[in-house]
Amino acid sequence: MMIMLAILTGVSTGILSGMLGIGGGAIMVVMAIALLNVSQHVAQAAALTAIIPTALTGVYKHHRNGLVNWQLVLYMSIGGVIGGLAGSYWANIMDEAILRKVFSIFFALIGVKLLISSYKKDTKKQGNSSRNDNHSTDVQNAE
Amino acid sequence: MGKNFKAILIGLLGGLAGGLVGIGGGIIMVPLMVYSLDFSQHSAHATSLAAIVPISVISASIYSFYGNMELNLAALFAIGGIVGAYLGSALMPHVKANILQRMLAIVVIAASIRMGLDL
Repeated sequence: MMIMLAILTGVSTGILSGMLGIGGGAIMVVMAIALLNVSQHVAQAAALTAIIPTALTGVYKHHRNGLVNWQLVLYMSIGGVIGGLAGSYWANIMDEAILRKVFSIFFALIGVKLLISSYKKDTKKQGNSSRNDNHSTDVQNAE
Repeated sequence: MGKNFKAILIGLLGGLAGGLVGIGGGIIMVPLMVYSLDFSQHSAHATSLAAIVPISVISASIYSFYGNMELNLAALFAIGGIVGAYLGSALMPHVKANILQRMLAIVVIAASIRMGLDL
């Protein structure tokens, strides 16, 4: 049962992110907590790990299209590894209730961003062809 | 400020946020790259995705060090996520993405308020 629910969480997050061009990580965290009753820390760890294969597939695709600036990837990774170390150390020494509140702020941010980009799509549709619309969905497939 | 130095700072912020709340960090990095490094959306997305890999690897290791890693769960998420992403991209041309996005936005905002206020 647990296994089915976990796969279901992954599949529905994947469908949403594939369809809407949003990153699945945060939604995965929320669904894991709601459906599987795991702690905030365990949910975040699982989402972080599940992102890796998906990101690698995406990078491969984008690299073949020449969209990855590898020099900047190097510098961003230097900062990113230091930040990632600090951020995850911080999260792991943090009380679960507080971490959940911090998470909820970021989750709200994602919601607002989604709302804004849904309106941007409207404007684009009115002003231009639907070809652009498809493109912008693909573009936002970040996070 | 040099471009490379800015890139390190952007990575640092993305990594901090990503490690702290378990997301990739793209939501922080992509807009910063567009505004301060003159990236196009498309290439910022591609480049940030590559930086997300080391951020996630290092962050996941720390969570694991503190005993919070359930690899079975992570593997099931990953498998489901990959299958779902294919289904989602196949469905994309058949849905009104902006309407769906708006509905999801409302659900996400409501869920975040519920989580944040412990309702």
